[in-house]
Amino acid sequence: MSLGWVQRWWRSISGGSSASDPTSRTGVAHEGVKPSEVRPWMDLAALMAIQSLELRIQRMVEGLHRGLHRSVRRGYSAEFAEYRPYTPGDDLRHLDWGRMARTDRAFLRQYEDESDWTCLMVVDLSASMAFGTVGYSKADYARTLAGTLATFLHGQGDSVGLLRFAAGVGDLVPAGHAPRQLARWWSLLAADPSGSGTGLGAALEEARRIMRRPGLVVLVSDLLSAPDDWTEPLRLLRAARHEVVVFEVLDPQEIEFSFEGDTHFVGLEDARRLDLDAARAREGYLARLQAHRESVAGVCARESALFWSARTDGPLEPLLLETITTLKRRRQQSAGAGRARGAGQ
Amino acid sequence: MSFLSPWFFLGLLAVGAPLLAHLRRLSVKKRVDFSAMHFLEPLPPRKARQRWEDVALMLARIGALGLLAFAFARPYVRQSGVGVSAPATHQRQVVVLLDSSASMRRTGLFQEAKDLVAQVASSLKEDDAFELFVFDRTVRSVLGAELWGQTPAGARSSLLSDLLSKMEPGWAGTQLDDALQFVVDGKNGGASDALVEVVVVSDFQEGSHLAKLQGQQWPKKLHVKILPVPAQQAREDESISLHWLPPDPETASLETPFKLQVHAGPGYRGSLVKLGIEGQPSRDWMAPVTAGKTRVVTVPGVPFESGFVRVAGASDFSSGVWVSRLPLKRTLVALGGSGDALDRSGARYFVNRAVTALGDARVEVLGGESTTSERDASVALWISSGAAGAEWNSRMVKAVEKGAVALLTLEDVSDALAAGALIGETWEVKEAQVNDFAVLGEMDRTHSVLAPFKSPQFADFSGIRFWHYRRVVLPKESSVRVLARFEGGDPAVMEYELGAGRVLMWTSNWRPHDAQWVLSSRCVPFLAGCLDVATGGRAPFVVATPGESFVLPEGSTGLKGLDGTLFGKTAGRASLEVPGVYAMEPQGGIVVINVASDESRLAPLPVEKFESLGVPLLKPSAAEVQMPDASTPQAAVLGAGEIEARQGGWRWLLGGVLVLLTIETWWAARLSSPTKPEAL
Repeated sequence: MSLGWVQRWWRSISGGSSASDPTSRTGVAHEGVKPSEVRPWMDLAALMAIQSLELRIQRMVEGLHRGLHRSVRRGYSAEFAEYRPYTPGDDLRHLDWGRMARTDRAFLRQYEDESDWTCLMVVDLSASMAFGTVGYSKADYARTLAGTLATFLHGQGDSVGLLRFAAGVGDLVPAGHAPRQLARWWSLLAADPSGSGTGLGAALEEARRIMRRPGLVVLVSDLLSAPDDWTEPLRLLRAARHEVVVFEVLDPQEIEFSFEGDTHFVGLEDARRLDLDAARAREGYLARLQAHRESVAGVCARESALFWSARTDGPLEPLLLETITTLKRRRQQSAGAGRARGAGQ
Repeated sequence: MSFLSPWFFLGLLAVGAPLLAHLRRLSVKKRVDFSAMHFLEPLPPRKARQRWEDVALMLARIGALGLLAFAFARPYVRQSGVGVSAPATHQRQVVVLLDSSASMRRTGLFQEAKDLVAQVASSLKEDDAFELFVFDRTVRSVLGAELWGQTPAGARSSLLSDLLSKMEPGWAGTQLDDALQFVVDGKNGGASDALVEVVVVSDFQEGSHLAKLQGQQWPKKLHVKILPVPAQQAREDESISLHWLPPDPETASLETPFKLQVHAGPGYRGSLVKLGIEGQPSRDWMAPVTAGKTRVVTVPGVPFESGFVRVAGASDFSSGVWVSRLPLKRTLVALGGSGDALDRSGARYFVNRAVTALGDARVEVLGGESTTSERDASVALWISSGAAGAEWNSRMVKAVEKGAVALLTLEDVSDALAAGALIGETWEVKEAQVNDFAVLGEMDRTHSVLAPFKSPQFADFSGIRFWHYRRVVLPKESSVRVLARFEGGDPAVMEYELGAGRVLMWTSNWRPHDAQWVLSSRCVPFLAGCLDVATGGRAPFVVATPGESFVLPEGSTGLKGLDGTLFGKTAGRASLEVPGVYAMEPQGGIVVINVASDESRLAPLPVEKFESLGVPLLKPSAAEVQMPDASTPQAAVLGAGEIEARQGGWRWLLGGVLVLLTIETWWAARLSSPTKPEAL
């Protein structure tokens, strides 16, 4: 006798994901980044129950700063570079008092001279993002995720823009520093999911067109469209030396497909209708989905894009912290490589 | 098959729930707006096997609910419908039990019963064995199988008619269970394999005793056929039964009200019952009682000693009861002796108090002055506590010679010598030389007067001191019995017979300054013992049913009815067959015989009662009378409930429900478990 129903019951009461799920967020980072043991600072359900997106993101960003143990003003871009001897007239705030105590000589700490990063958040608000079985939709989760990351980056001085897409390329908030950026983001993200398809490839091409110099492109989508449609645009983005972060947002029901009985399925993005015995259809569905997700992860790995998979019932904080930490490391590596290149010249 | 609670079949409506769910599953599907439609593929149609599995699952659920409703309806199988019929070809042993209890005394009932017996006998084959018993409290053989077999076939009918014509119903109760057990015991272990057919001919009234049939093991070859004698519709007054609650015999008197328990059967429609005393039409009174209720009615003092109380206007035996108010004969005690009755220094005062303290209403104490020669013959006990005078002594001696008992105390040596002279003996008597004091020692506690001191708590006499007594030395051939002696061996209490009576004497007097005896707590029981010896024991008061054996007191010679008929006794016991009031001879005790109150419960027994007791009933032939249906719905339900409880079919049904639910649970889990991917 199969114990599948026992496993489903256990999952339902434990809230955990199946061990057989190959694309859960904690196991797919192709860069081998070990997820941090980060305790969520806010219950996800309570957070998502906050109607105002702005307020929701504000709460998240505050928590994010606490999690990073850094001030909003300094951020990770104010990095130590080297020491130089003190000369009269230097700003004493940069004096390394500890080293002076040990060596009886005065040194100043010098930092990386960083320029602003241009970031573009590409958010999928197609009709499939309206699906949700945990009390809110994938679109809600994606809004919160993109909005939090954008606010954080904006807060540390980066220029952040936002591109919304559905069946085709949608509205754009160009990258900028101005405080009014925030209000424009909220207005753009508040749109309801719509459309009869997902124009992911077109959105990435538009992002490449907008981003004239190397920067950061963050894609937030369910990635349910065929990878062939957007593999080439992604490759071109990477070729233009953009850092790309891909967030795959899926509902637990999409991952587990725990529907029961005879069910009438209606497509959200097309008019396709199917009458199926969900129990009988489960195995085939899961197999096809797994193959698709492995394909998506493979494309991202091939293009060196940072790939994260997120369940909408999973906490946001570890995901964001790991993303920021990984971005910081990559940025240091690229800065180091730049200095090496400068020294060589 | 019948059902005790058929309304639970309404629960079958719940069967529609799984049916509707199944139909709904077939027709209505849940709609889901889904995002990843391109990962879903159409499936091949559901296999026929899966459809059948769904139907089987639905049937299992319907079956479980149906069985549950069936179990709650409490089904049972009536045995009468499936009773075996008597095989026509095999030899039979037919045992007829004819009811001769009091309830069969109803008009024409016993004659009809005898006709039924004759009918049963006439239907027998020549080889069939036949036995006839009559039963009420006991079972008595009327015609044995041996005599039946020896009698030529042509003469059997007349033989049976002769025997039946001599039979009359008695007054005893109906011990139907004893009668059936008697037959079962007689037929158990018999070598013959012939079918034993026990035919019970009775009115099968509700008061018949059946309790002993509970758990009775019935031989397989034995079957019981019940042939009820059709009784006429009971009159309303017949549904009233009376039961006399005998009064306390110690306090019974003509002035004491007596109590009757009046029970109205379910058929009684009135609210008052008119009761009367037979022969005294002006003494009727009303008792409030309604159907199904029992009331205890206190009848105020009516100047009659004994009689038959019945429901006014009724003539049947069941509506009356014998009541006795005959006062018991009083025992006269003559108390003589010197001294004033109020003088506490003399013994007479204390003896008078002690006799009075007996608290026995039947005792009347006559002082020496009030004793007249006319009542001497009635005095049972003469007590002399001192010099009573020659004339009183003479009357006492005469009474003792006629059977009375005398209790004397020897005041001095001359009294002792006179006492010996009464029986022609010369005693050596002198005043005892007592050092300090004397106490009682050896004692014959088997004697009636000293029997109260058998118990260890009353056996200690060491605290009772005697300062003066007369030392009596009896001759060797003396007829005197010494009942108690002082510690030195001198007689203390003696007894001898004088004529038809007897004399008890103390060698000490009872004056308080000579002995502590009269002041001690032992004196009263001693006097009670003397009284018992004088009267032959306390006159008994016996209430019994016809045929019930009871003990007659020692000395009683027999019983005498109100009409003067005398009845003897056997080995100290007696039994009376006819209800009435009887007096014991010669003590005057009373015996009241009443028909058992169960015999007044005339409603017919429901056949379910026999079925519930597991009696292996044989289906009566068409020519024979059918057992009537239950007299009341309640009785039928009661009988059916017992059958259902014995059969316990609901347990099996509940077991079936559990099995079905277990299968359904397992099956449903199996069907809902993920299946292997289908070939696409």
